[in-house]
Amino acid sequence: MNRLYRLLVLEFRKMYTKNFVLVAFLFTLLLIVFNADSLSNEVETAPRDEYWISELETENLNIDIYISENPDLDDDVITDLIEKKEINLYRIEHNLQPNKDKSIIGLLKYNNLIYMLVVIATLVVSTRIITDEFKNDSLKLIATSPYTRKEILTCKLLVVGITPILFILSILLFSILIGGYFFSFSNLNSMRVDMIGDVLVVESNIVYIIKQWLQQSYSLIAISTLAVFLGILFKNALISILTSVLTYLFGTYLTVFLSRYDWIKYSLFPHVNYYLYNYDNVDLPEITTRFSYTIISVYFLVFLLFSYSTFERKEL
Amino acid sequence: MSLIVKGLKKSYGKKTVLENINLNITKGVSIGLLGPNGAGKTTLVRCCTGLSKFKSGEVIIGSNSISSHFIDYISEISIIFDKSHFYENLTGYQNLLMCYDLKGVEKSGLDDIVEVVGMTNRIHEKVSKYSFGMKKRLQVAMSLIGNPSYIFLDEPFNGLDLNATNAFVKLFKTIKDRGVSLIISTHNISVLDELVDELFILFNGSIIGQVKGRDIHDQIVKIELESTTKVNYDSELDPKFTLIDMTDEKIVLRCDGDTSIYKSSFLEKVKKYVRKITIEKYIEFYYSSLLGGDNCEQIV
Repeated sequence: MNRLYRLLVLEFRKMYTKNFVLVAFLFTLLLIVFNADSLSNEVETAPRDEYWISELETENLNIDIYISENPDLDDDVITDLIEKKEINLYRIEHNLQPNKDKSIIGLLKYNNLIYMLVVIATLVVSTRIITDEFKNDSLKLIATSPYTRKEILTCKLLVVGITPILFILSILLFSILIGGYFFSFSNLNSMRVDMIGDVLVVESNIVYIIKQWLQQSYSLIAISTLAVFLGILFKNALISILTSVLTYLFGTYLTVFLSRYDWIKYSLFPHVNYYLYNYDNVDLPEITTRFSYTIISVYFLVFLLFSYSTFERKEL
Repeated sequence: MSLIVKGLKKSYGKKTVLENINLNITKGVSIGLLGPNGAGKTTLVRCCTGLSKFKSGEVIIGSNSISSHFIDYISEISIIFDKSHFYENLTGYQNLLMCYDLKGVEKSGLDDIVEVVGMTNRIHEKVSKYSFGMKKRLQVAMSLIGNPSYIFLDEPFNGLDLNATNAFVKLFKTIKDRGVSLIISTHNISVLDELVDELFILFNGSIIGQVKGRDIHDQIVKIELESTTKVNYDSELDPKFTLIDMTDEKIVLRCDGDTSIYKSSFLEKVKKYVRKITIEKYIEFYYSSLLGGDNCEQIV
């Protein structure tokens, strides 16, 4: 175990002292600062501190009036409005002030698009952790050290797996520190209230955001493994990065384009974006969260198997 | 604890590049692998160091097979590649420390290794400032980490000038004297007799010749005579010489490396008929006699 730990630390050090990784972290930090600055100039839409209860009560009253004045409303619309009312009532009863836009949580939500940085960074790491070694011929040095090829690849895959988590943690940390500086730390433990089905769900906003990012990371892990496999097969960073990035970014559009074919649900494309079928953007009603996770898991295992078997036989 | 290669066969698709290779290298004995381009020397080194997988056969050190006990096998060997890889932004010393970490051995003897390779004054400089020769020395230093029993050297003299080659021959002799077996794959036949105890000649993936022991240091003496001379060679005149070939115009003799033709009684007898004397190393003669003239041009 010591041996593997040693190799893992070395792999980690090799990757995380590369210039492009350091630049990615720095870019993330700068982007968060920029976002915080932009957010601070936006108009606050959340209820004001002193009047939030009365504003929520007023909103509930307006919902009642709207429903009664529009008897032909769609059932979905009525359900949404009633859910909103329930949430407001819960907040009032339990003294849970809605989160402000200009807060750490608001910044974290504003930073949602920064998740793309996590995607790009992970896919580049997945590729270069293999292709750089081929390019520099340094794989020979490790391959003639006391590690089997399985162990070498396992440690590299672990570094790949840790990458999205590290980037998510860094976005979180930077957002808290920078958001705290711009807005204050007071709303850090604000609660999110939502209706899922008929159940009222109450959870910490930060926990919810992290869960969302980690859920999105599940498909990212599968595509990273594809990137590793392509890197081993072709020893070419460009092919590997392009294929994996295009799969992630355009899988959603491809799904929309091919949604009339039933078999598309068995491909990786519909499952790249976790929110696709939740937003009913395409007519793929059979896709549930469990089905999606199953498909992603199958592809992950297939790419993993291909990676190990190719690397085991590869001429170094 | 010998390094044994048994029935090794390696193919790329339908092309067989190594066929039934058998070697038995006792610890402390150094061998040379000689042959023209494409003979299979580098492929053999790659198969013995785990960089290439092979179709059939076995490579074993002691009871550790490269296939089934890779970790124990690879711990006994080291390799000096033809191309080097270092972390150029780190010093030579830092690179060596990383190598210790990679191999998982105690960080003892580092100063001794640095001294052996002659880098004491420059080991704390960044590798990016090293010359080609210094980088080669650093490679040698890295190969000594972990006290390997066998070091594979693939074309170790490529890119070195004459002075540097001589310096590295001296360095490898020092390493050899410490009981390490060197397995040298090279075109540079001129230095092999100083470094190896056995020589294997490869051609088209097979071992076609072998020179071992004292034979490696033997010489071939070619005496060209006036065309009208009729000379009889008497082997009892000089027992240290063996007649290899004799025509009206040429006599080819073999002797050990310490014997001088200029002190021979036969030469004294025929010197007035001698037009020219050529002396070459037995291994060069043996190599060219096995492979013919065209292939000889590939050796230095």
